[in-house]
Amino acid sequence: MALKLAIASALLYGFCWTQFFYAFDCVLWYSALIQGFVLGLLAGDLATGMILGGGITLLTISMVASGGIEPSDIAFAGSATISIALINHMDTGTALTLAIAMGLIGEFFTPVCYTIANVFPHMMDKYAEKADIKGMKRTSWLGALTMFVVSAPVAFLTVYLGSGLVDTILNATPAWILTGLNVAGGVLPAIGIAVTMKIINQPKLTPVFVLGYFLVQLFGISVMGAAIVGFCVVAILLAADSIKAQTAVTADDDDD
Amino acid sequence: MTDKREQGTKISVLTKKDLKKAYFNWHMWAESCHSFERMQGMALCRAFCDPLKKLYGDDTEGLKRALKRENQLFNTEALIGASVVGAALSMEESMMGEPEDEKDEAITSVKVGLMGPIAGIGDALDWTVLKPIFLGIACDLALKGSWVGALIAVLFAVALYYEGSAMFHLGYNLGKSTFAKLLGSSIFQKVILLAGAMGLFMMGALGASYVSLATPLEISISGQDPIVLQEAIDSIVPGLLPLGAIFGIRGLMKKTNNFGIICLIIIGICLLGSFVGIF
Repeated sequence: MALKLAIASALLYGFCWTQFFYAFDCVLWYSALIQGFVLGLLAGDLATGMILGGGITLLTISMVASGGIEPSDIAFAGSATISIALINHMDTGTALTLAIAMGLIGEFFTPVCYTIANVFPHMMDKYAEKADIKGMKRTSWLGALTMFVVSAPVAFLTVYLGSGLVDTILNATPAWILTGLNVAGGVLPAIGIAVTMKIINQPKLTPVFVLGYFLVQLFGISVMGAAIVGFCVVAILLAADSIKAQTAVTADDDDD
Repeated sequence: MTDKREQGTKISVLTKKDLKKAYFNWHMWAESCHSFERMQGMALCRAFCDPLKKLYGDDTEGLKRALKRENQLFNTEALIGASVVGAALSMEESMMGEPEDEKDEAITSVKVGLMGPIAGIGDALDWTVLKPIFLGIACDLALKGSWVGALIAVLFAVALYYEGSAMFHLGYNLGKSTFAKLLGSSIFQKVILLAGAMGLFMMGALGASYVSLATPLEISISGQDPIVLQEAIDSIVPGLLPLGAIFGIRGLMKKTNNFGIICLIIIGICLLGSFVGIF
């Protein structure tokens, strides 16, 4: 089981580093949702895999690689943590804490990959010098393959060696620490939410956030249901805006 | 300044199929082999390989020059930013036959000038608003143990591919001048504002669903039943503690932007709270 999941994690993480197909890369290869699905299926416990994947995704939901640098290696956090948690039957709170540690460890690895990647544009230059289109295309495949070969073993070793240690460590840990980690597991998803609020950066719209919060808190409607209400709120804002625009036609509208 | 395209003198060399293929290649390689030095430059060059070969035909010297021109530093958000890629390709086509020096200058300045602002719009719309909304719904289902969460993520990715495709063709069709004008118009700002409202609303909904914090504290008064603090809070404003946690972390972010430090502070507070018994 440990070997099987370690190999699967290595393949998932390595594939993340090929960064094939931008949108699929950002949303799927990188996402703990897909990693949870695949690893959960392999471990024979799809539900737990999805719960771990959902928890980790929520934590990292708003992370944007602006300028190409991630604040934390989401792919590593997901692929390594979910496997270790599945092997050791870890609870979600502890797994989230582990995911953060893994994300920060993985972050050190990102610059290594970007530095290695510097080689390939120069190879590309050489082929461009000869107008060798085939050679250029080969270079991009070679680059992606190199990224895979460099990164996959890191995830393999982490899961394979790490999963054996975790049990020993958890058994030796006092109860109040485990309780504390569980509490942290409940609070940590707030980071993803707070980061999103910060990036959207519309302090005037804070009431909309509070509206969404208490709609769910007080009436217990599902997130999907809330999305529908949210959409209506935005539609009302848009309608109010266009009524305003109709009463005061500006020169700006001609451009639209 | 008007494009040749707008004067109606331009003959299209690139077919619809060429454009589709160019976008596919751009999307495929956009972040692959991302390096500190060129960032997405290699991906842009990779996407332009075939179109440039077609445009230059037998002119090998020109082709060499063009390939090197497109292998320079480039970095944007690859979906809405695909419009910059489309605009650059449209310039390569419309400037065919003009001196290479002029092309170097014109195309590079459009690429470098637009990539930043467009990336800002793309990051704001695709990744800070749309992604949390759709993955938020996916997480909701996943946390209930359902595989449908993974399916929603897949559908979202497919939709993003086509969004990028639409932007690529928009950039290609508009050419550089109209494109720059559009960028300056207020419509983008409006879209970002409304999308931001939707994003904040969803964050509220997700926060209420998945941030949890409660206290086991009891206040004992002699001769009466002890007051369970959590019950007292719930009877006044339910969900006050998680909401406080969210705004607390939001406040913390004004002090530091370091993800690791914020995590450590939260875990530290939780451990301390658990040790003294307030959580």
